[in-house]
Amino acid sequence: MNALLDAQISERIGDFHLDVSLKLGREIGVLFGPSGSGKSITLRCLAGLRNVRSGRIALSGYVLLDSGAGICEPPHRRKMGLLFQDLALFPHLTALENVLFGCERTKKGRAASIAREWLARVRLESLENRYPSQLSGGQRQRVALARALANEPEMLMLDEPFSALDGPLRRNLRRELRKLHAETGVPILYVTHQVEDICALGDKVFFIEKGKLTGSNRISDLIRGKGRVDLWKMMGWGNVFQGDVRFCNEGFPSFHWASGDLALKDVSGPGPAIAFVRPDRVRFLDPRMPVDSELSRNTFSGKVEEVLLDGGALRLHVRTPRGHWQIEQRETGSHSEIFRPGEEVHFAIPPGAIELIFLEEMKGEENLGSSIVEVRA
Amino acid sequence: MERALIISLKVLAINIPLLALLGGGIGWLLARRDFRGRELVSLLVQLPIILPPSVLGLYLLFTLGGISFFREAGFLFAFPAAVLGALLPSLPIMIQASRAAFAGVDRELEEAALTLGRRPWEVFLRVTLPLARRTLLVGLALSSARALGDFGVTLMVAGNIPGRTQTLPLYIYGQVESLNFARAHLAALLLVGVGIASLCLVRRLEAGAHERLA
Repeated sequence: MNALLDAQISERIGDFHLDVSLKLGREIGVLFGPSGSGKSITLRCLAGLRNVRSGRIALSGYVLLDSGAGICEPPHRRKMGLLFQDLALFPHLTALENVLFGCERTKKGRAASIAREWLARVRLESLENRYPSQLSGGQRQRVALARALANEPEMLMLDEPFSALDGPLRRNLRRELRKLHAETGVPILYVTHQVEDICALGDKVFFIEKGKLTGSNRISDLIRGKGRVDLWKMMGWGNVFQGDVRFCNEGFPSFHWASGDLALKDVSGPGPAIAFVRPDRVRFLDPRMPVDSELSRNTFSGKVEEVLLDGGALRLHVRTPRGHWQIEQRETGSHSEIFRPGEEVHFAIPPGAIELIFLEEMKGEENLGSSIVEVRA
Repeated sequence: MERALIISLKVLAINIPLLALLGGGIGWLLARRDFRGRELVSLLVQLPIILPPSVLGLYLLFTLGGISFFREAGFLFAFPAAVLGALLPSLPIMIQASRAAFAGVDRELEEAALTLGRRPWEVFLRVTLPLARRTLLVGLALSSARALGDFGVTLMVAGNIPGRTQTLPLYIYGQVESLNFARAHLAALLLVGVGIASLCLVRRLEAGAHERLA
């Protein structure tokens, strides 16, 4: 995919040094990193709200910044929409006036009808005369989205706009954002520190840490287990083990690592590898019920160490004699009752859920050596 | 009293836009621009509030008297001096209010407007000013009331010349000196009425601001 956004930014803020380069096509990119890693500053630099010491930003072929050539377009000429974390809706304007603000300069004469169209697209046409203080959190998000898109930006950037919302609402808005992206084709750069945003929203993820871009991956590759291990570690999500793929005497493949082994299926060959198990692929077992033969070699028992409710998902950290596991289940009332810290749980890893990355295949990837050593076991 | 009232109203009519422009402008600079000596400027512009009017008037008299242009133009002890005399002690109130008003406008709102393609002046007129408006109006009401009621500084630089520089407060002083208490009371009542009306306006503006943001 041809890059619509091609940006290299270098900026120093006290001791903090931001140094990132991004390429994004007509897709949703997620800028992922911990708090204080420089995500929001990156967006501000791209939008022109912050001066950049050196760098180059080109969007749809237009150079917005070139510190070497002395080019620096002001924010109002960049056509880069920015959805702030607090949304920045104008409190003195109604929902309709807020959206109008985004389009009346470019769409003179037709601005009112375009603003109404956008409000209808986000299903807020009946609330057009309400002030932001009279709208719910989700409605405000929709107005902010409509306002940003009504301005027909060349690119839309979102700075964790859904972080303050609860799970179902966040899911709905993510769905809506994807739909709007499909309709408009506007490239989107979405800043988050929540893993579920990566999986639910993005086509591509950029990892940022301490002001530096540490890697980027297509989300589909990441989910299929083709990403770099250090990136998974950075997300703090997933079960990652380093070991070897072997074939036993009967010819069945299995994965061995320092704390145990897992039965595999359909493996190309033996060799050192990384095994990755998505937490949501782990299956809980009822000890009173017989276990599927496919799962019988991959069963574990352990104690729940921590239970986290994140949006609609229940995240568990389970300690077993053979290591530490992350397990994710869709939240239900019964789960909340069963999974309490200290409770014993039984679970299994379906062989088909084990993603393998052979170290031979990964040799071509950069910066891998040091990260493999740190893989959790 | 009519002549004093007319002079007071004329002084006020000139001072209200001056207060809005000068006070609003300096307040915006202090709130939004980071420049060397900002704190010193902030301190200096507040001085007229704490200095006794006679001291302020004295310095103003000697400063203007020392500048040949003002001397030759007959600025002192004339109507322009009455305008300046009322403006100077009321300006800090407006500066303080506008500084608070502009500092209270969320910068993200202005930045959002910029990313929506608005030029900086449009952002100021469409976002900053409407959001700062109520606090600005509160400042304007209070500083205008202060300008209308100035006595000391006006007396020092403009004198108490009936029909030329005698404003309502000076008229009251003159009537008391001449033992015409009834006239003095009438003029005083008028100023009290203006003061109460200003306070009511301020209360309404403040209440409105809170309602909108709730």
